Amino acid sequence: MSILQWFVDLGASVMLPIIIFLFALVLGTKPGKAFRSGLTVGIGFIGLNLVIGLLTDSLGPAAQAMVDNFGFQLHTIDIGWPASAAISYGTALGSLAIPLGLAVNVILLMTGLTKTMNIDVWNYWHCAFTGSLVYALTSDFALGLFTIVVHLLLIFLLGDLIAKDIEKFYGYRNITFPHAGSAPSYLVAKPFNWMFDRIPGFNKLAANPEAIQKRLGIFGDTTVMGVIIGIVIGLLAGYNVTETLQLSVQTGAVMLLMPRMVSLLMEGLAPVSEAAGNVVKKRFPGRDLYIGMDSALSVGHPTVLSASLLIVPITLFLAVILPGNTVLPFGDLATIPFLICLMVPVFNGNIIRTVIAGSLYIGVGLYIATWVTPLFTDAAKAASFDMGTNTSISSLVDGAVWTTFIFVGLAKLISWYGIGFIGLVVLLLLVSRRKIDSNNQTEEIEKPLEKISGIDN
Amino acid sequence: MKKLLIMCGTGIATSTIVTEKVKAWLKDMNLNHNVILYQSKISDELGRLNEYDIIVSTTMVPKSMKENVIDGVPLLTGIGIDAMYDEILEKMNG
Repeated sequence: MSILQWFVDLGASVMLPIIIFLFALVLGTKPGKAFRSGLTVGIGFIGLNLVIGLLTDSLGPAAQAMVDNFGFQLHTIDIGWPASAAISYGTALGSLAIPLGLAVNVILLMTGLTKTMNIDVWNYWHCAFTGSLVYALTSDFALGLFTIVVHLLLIFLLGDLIAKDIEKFYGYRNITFPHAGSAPSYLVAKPFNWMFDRIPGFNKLAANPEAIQKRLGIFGDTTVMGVIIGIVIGLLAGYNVTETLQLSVQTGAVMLLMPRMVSLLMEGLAPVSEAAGNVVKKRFPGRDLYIGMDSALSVGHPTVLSASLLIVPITLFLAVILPGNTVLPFGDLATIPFLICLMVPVFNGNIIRTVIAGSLYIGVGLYIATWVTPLFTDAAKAASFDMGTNTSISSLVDGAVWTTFIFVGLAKLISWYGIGFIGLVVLLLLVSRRKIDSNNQTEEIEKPLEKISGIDN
Repeated sequence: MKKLLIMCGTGIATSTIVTEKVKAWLKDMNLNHNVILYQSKISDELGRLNEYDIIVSTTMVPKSMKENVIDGVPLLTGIGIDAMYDEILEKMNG
């Protein structure tokens, strides 16, 4: 146990390179390449730590000054998904999400319970995220692992559910997005769409996304977005011109640098995720499966981009006016496309519906993000991120996802029973979907006969 | 020198995988001295796509730009990689 503790105490920038090196070796990567991979991940962590330091040092005091000036409660900084992913993978528990993800996928494919073959190993971090929060809440390592497994089951169920709509709307054949940040939105969009269809007048409204995109083009640039937010917050904080301008370049820098650092993490993980993908692919050749990919593939769709741009100011406005919210949206303003990219197919590309449903979703999400803030801050500390003094951080998008609320909420209420209950429901749904699927196949065979009898009539 | 942009939805995840693969391929083809690689995300680049000679994207692009953009998804799924590299070569020589 003391060896394990020593290992964990090494911190993410040393522990993860060792873990990644070992994963890569096990998956058949050459030692030299495996070593470089591990090292790149560690360096990414160090770089990211520097950027988070810059963010909390610059935006932290400004947010505090804004709170003092106006009585806003926004003292929790939204650090954004890149840092959240790093924090989630940055603990011994979180790093296990990758091998667990592989194992769960292989078992589900072998038992025929899913058709989703996920090669997007990186995004298992969302499961590591909920696992880490539950661990921070309960200090029960095994329950943290169990949460990761149940969350994994859920994303394979979602992967199967959304595949048809992805093909129909985005045109990606046999590709699905078992992405725990975006896929849950699909289920939120369904009832919204049902409701929108039944509002007279509204159900005929539509707008052209490409025109909006052209008009708002420059604001879509994340660096520009960071600079503007810096200026606004500087002014609200009562900074003078010099301080405001300095803050704005710092926030712009964070927006540009944070993704660069995380892309180092990704670069290091790439050989592992590729080798892992190949392991799954080799085991199940030639079967009619959905390939699980990052929903980033769909983010470039004009409706997704334009709706996200419109939701950014709405989110900031909501953050200010919603009583009880403490999260200052920042890093994840650039992640909003992920929150809505699987709502868009349900709304068939309708941008008005997407903006309304997306805004309501993120409004509720602000409360979830506020609620998980202490747990998130603890998890960041466990991953040895240095956040200075008295800073609290959260993540807007992964906080806003309803699954975060369900997992952490049920774990808080009834711990093992709660997560076990979710696991049971998801398993039942997986099994029942398999039955529906096999029924469908027999129906398809019968269809030609129906057509013939149709002609007779 | 040709400017090659590789973009995805975040500038982090899939574009990193594609960039690494294209980098290795360019080296194998002995073309790495003829190309400057850029990696970015679509929302940052929409206004300046015409500054690049070759664009590979793993995410969707607006219809008006489709003709000038090469689909990078084959490098992620492993299906149709050769055809994709042929397209890049064609643009490079063109």
